[in-house]
Amino acid sequence: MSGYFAGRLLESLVAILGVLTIVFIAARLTGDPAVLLLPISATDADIARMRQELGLDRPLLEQYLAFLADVLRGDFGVSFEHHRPAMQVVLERLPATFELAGVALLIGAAVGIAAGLVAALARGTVLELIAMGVALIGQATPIFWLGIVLILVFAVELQWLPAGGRGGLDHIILPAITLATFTTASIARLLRSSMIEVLKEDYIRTAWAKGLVPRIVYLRHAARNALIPVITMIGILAGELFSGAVVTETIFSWPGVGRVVVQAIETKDFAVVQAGVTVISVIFIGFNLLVDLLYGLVDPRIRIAS
Amino acid sequence: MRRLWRAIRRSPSGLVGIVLVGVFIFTAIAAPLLAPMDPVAIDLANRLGAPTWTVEGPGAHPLGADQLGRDILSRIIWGSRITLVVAITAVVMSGALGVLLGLLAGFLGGWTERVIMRLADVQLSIPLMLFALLIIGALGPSLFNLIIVLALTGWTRFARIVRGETLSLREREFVMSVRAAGATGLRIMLRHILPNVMTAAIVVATLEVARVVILESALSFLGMGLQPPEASWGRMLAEGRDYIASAWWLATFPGVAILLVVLGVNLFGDWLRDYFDPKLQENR
Repeated sequence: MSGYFAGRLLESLVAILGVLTIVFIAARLTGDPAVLLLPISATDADIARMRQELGLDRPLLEQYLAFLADVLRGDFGVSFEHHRPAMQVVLERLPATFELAGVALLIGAAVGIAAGLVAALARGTVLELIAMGVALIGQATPIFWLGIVLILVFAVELQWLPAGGRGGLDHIILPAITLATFTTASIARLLRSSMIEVLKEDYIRTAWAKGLVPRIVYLRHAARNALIPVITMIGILAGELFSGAVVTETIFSWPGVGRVVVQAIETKDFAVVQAGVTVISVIFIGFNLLVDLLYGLVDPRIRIAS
Repeated sequence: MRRLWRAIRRSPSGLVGIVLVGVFIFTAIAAPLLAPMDPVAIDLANRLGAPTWTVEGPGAHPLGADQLGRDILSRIIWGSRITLVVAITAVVMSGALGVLLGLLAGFLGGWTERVIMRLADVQLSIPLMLFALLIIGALGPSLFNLIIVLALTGWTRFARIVRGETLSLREREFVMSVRAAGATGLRIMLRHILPNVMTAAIVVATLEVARVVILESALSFLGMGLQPPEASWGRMLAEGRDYIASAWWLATFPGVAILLVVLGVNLFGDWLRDYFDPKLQENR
């Protein structure tokens, strides 16, 4: 049991180290930071002095270790654009991203589970066809386009909801729906097929034979087991949510981490890009670790297998 | 061939997928013949011209004109070429890398396997879009860099599936017998295992195309993909966004094009998976 936990924890730490390595390599690919920092009129001697100051003349391994040491202290350097530590800029935006992703995940889980169950229980009816048709289209819809269409309809034409920014409850409705669409569709499709499989199992036949009412058979016996693959997928969906948040935040001017990273790329403010990518990835890794640990607690087969 | 035809007829959603993918590929190949106008010809007199398609006929600009008076239908038709070329190049590159690493991991096992699968885990620990932004941010936006990013983000899916298949093939009798006959490891891997993992790889590749199309258009939308004046669907959407209140057709039609292609590829991929691997097929 504790072996499984320790193993997963170690894997997560290795993954974080890997992410930091990729971020370090990416920073080296941007070109010579000394040249970027100095005015064009700088002489070779100026550049050499700057390189020495930044530690760029030392061996790569030493630079890498220095980078890791800085990161452990939460230091990603200073943002040129905001004139503040890059980490601070990113952390300020984190609550907005959490709010958006959290609401989208709730919508996705609630609507997706409802639609998946309805489709599985109403097999062969028009209802199933509609639910699955909508889910298929939902999975194929580019979210940046959906966001624009929602703004056009609900903000420009009908003027029911604001087109962007973060404020009251009405501000989060459109971006949350935009971001939730893919999650909703994926959960609905997965739950439908796993529910259909579960309903063929012997223990469901036993439940019917015991004379249980449909509500108990469907919800307590079938849905509970059908939800297991959905829970496993939540880790993957969290990654999709963070990816989608980048685009959604840009469309709706939502002041989250994704938007600040996109802006930082436009202004070549690479410290913020590094900090943003690292913070989101570490949260993503932590979230997946949590899901796996909970899953290990719930499902004894996993503990034994490891 | 007859089995194929029966499988197509039995699955209406697969048929829809095949038709959509077929239309898409045909449009991309025949773009110069199909497009009514030059996609980059500027006609300022016709800026933001509304769609002219009525019951009487298509008119000069069936889907309207953009902020420079360029014909939207022609731009969508030419844009399909970029989408197709980017998607195929990226998927072939990530597929080649993923299949190779998956084969090595599954066949050699031990340290090779551990390192490769750990690399895949690390890759998957960075949400896709953020990884793309990191690399494009470092290298700068261009078509080449876009393809590199799309290829780098896709190999893990191939590697995982191919590794799994290789692990089970490695223990099968036919592999044992060629090994007993004195075949070298490399020969077994390339001649006997590779052909048997190709179907799985092709199914993954099809579904990957859908992911690549969405990601490519999203990155172009954020200004990190193709640069103007090329007609890329994501780019057209990004430009149309500024005119959303006055000219809805600018952003709407490229979005519909992306949706139809992704829907078609997804349906086709699902059908292909069921066709090649009846084990996964749902009982109907």
